[in-house]
Amino acid sequence: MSKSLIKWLGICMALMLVLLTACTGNESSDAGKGNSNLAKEQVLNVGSMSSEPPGLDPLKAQDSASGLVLSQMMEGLATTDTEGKVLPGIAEKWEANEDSSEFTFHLRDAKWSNGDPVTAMDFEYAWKRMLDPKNAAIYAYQLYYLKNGEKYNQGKAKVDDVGVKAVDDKTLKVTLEKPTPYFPSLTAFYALLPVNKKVAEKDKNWAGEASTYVSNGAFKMKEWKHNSKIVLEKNDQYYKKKKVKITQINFPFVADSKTGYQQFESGELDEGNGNIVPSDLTKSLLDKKEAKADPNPASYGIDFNTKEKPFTNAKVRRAFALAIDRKSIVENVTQGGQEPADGWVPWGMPDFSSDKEWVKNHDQYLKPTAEPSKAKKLLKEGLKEEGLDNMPTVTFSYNTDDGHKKIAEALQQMWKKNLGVDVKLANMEWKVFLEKKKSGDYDFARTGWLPDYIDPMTFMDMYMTGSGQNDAKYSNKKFDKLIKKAKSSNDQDQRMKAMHQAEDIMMEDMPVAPLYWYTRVYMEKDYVKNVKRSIDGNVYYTEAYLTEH
Amino acid sequence: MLHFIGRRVVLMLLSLWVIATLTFVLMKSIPGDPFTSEKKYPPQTIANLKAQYGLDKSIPEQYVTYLKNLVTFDLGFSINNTSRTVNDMLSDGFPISAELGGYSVFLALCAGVLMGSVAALWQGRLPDYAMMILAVIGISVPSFVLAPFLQKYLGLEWRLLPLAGWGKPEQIILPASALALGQVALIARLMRSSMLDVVTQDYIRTARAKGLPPWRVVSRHTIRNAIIPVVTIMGPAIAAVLTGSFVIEKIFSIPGMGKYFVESITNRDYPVIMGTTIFYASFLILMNLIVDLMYGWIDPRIKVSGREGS
Amino acid sequence: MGIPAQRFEPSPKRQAAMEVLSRPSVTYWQDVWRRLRKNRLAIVGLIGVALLILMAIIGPYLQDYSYYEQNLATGKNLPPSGEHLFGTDDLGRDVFVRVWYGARISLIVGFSAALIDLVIGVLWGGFAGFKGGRIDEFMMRIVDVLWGLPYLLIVILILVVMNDPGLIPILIALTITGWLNMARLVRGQILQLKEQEFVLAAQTLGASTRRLMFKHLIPNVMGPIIVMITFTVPTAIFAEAFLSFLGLGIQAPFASWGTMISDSLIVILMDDWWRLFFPAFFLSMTLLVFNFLGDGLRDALDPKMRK
Repeated sequence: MSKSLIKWLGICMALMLVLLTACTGNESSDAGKGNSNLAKEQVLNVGSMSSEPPGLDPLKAQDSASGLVLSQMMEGLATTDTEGKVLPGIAEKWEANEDSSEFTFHLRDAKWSNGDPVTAMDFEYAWKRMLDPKNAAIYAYQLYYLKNGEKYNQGKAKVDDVGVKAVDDKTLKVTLEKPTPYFPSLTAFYALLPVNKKVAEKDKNWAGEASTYVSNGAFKMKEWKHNSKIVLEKNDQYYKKKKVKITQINFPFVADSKTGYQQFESGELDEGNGNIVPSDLTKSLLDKKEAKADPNPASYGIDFNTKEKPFTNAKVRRAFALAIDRKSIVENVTQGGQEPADGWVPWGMPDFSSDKEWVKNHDQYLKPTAEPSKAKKLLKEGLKEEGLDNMPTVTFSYNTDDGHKKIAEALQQMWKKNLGVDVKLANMEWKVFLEKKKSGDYDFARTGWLPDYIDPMTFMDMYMTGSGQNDAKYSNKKFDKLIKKAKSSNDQDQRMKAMHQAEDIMMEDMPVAPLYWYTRVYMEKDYVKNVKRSIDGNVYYTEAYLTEH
Repeated sequence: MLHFIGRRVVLMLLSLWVIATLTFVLMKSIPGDPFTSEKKYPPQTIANLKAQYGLDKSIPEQYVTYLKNLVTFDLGFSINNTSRTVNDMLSDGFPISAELGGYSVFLALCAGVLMGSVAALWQGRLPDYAMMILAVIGISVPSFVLAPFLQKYLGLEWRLLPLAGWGKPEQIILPASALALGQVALIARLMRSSMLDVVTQDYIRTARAKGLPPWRVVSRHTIRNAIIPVVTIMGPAIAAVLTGSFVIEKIFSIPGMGKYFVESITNRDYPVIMGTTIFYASFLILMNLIVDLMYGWIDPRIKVSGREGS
Repeated sequence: MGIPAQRFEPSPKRQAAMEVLSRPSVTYWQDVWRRLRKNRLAIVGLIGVALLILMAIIGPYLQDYSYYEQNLATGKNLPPSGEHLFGTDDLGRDVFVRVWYGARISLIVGFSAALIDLVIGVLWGGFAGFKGGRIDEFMMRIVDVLWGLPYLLIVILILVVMNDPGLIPILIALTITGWLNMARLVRGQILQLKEQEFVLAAQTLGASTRRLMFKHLIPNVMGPIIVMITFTVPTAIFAEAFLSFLGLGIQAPFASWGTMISDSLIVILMDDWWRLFFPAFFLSMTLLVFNFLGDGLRDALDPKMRK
């Protein structure tokens, strides 16, 4: 009896301590304060990876799991803060020529984890390696900004013609294809990270094992137990090592979200992203404040095949869009804090011509709730225009996934109730789904789009005539003209105006019906402090620390 | 006997060739390739990638290359896990899957044979019905339902066993049990059924009439003659379990090779598809050969040596 | 000797009396039915199967809801009550109606799988085992090849070729590999059985191959066959859920026990137990009554138990 009493008291004490530390943690706004109650063991367990990262060589990295590990281990010429603002990284400073077509980067004294200095040559080597057609890097096109970058990648130019040159150990000169004022911000992306030339030339597969992996960032690889976990430890060669408090990060691969959630609950994991939040539990975890949801500038919607009757007709497409109760989808089906979409460009996207968000600067294209009478009227008119007496049978396709299935079932019911149309559902294996959409062998299908870069353009040019991304096969000359205008202009006001006009047209034609804007869900124990989450989805543990718990 | 085994080995290679060929045809005929993705990359990038993996060559050429690689046991790098070769993946994953599978097979065999024999010897009485109920639960609760239950109660609520992971002995218990339950049920039911067939046979009556103690009758005569069906199904079952279970390894975060069977196909990772398929198929065919050899050893009357039947 | 020779006179033949049977003549199947009736558990099983089929037919009409009707705003995840006997699911659909609707699909899939096992598996294995030699070797290598092929690839190919999801593609997918275990099992048993004395006796008496197979060998393998079938049924029911998930099977919002169970696994970590419990419970019940019936049938079919 007394033993269990003591245990309970202990738990209560521990809880109070946690609460106390949580309070003090919130009060201290910057990392310097609150050090008094730092936990003795600064080991962080992160459950954000579902499986082995496909490749940790910057040459091969192309997915979020690789990106997460690289963000901790590698640093480029520049870095970005959580708002996307550019900060100096390995390059202390840089200057541009008059029209921003040439940049000179000055490197600081930084070292690789094996003690080698980080030189300008490492950057030149890494970038040329990225563009080498023999290496077939997926992200080679991220370096097409460089003069002759694209040509070299296509085998039409020589390697020496590529516009990157190490003037000396500490100076890197970059010549671009055309003026690009925002080039320094691109150097933070992992396709432009440096590679230790000596190491990579000696061992082609250097990035495959912990023993040969060399990094230049806050952490280095301690252990890579394939298929099981990656362990990082603090890099003592890092130039800002004093700011790094975490001594070790464990990334166990958690393939099942139910398992991950239970490991978080039992304390085996300190934090993790949506990978450890089972989607059906999201709502209750958000309500209990155990999970948090940040806006994610990404859109979920429905692509209509505009080459397939009856969706050749804009009124029919609009009718299907208006029959959807977006608010109900978000509140009752997805339940992860998402926002009903009233346009295709999502929340979080900046409007560079004003200080407000993009989505606050246009009319509401779609109401959050359904408009059944308007939808029915549009459907009738549209079918008549197409010379159809009855609504033909249409099939809504989605790729195999519990979440998509639930949304599809809810949509089917809404179209039945609000439009009087019986829609068939078909789910497909992922790559079969992609191929069917690409070849136009579908009626209408789910779509989702995550930005390639933080600019509304990444949601617009995909619907230009003939774009590889345009599964709706949408084609409108006026829309194309506006997008081209926005692309050729360097004036932000003109660009944004053209794109707003383009979105007006697009939402009238409705090749894609927006459903909701995404969130990024994550769970984090309250003793984990100062983790940086940037708008583009990167997570940095560089300055994070743990308080006593 | 040696002649028989020799012929079976030749036939085994022939079967493997047929499987490799059909698999190649299947994987080439389904939509998508390793580089199909939601984000469309520039055509030049895709062309470079295809050239790197020899996918720009004609289909017959690719087929010949794959066969050559198979024969030399060198399938090269995985397309998806860019820094790992197929051989690495299999040689790392198989011992883990095999260890887990080995425990679960052992558990299933012991429990299944015991339960089945008990049920048969007490036919129509309480132990028989109890075993039947247990078996019905065993087959109607698949491992993907049982595993999260075990995890929640034994792992999270009562903290008796680790939730997931691999490397410590106590981490084997939950996944091995979840994996074994269905097999236990099948073995127990089969064992019961064939025991009932055997106990009415004349030689059992003879053995008993000669005064052999009951436990000897059961262990030497009844089980031995009743175990053929269990041996038959255990052949392929062992091949399947030892090469890993996708579901169980996923739920318990076990770094085995089970997931490669599924992920290689969803990723269209051609070298890994070929590697896993041939690995599993060789194992399966080998197990079936062993089963055929065991028939003769368990019951010398059985002839499978390839001579024409009467 | 003291016995007079006339005592050894043959008695007069009375044709009529010889034709009279002391017991009524019963065929094999009449005999099976007679013995099955005496087995109480088997009768419980039979009634259970009948009840399940009846509920699958009329169950969906017993409540005023349809299997697809949702109530997103106010009717999600309601516990069982007078209104919804088995509660509602995460889209506000009535679980009672869905369970019985799902019973239709799952029972069809289960029965079909059993039939495939019985027809293809038993015949293939029986023939191979009985013939032996090269024929056996050839037929078993075909089994090996089918078994060794990656099933997922086959499924994706069917999905692409058929283009129209539904029950037919599922049955095709089950037909390709569903019978392999049964074939090997029956073959192994026949290999053992055919060396026994009663087969030699029948052969010596001139029994035809067909008669040997169907009258002597297969009835003696009925025990393992029935056990195997009782395992094929749940395996097929869960395979259907897996295939539906891949896009091959019946499409949402149709329900089956398999899809209801795999879609509601998460309730293990929540309080909405009814979403998982009811489909799982009725699936278990189905298997239980099938096992009762199966055991009874096994005893009834066993030629050695014939008196």
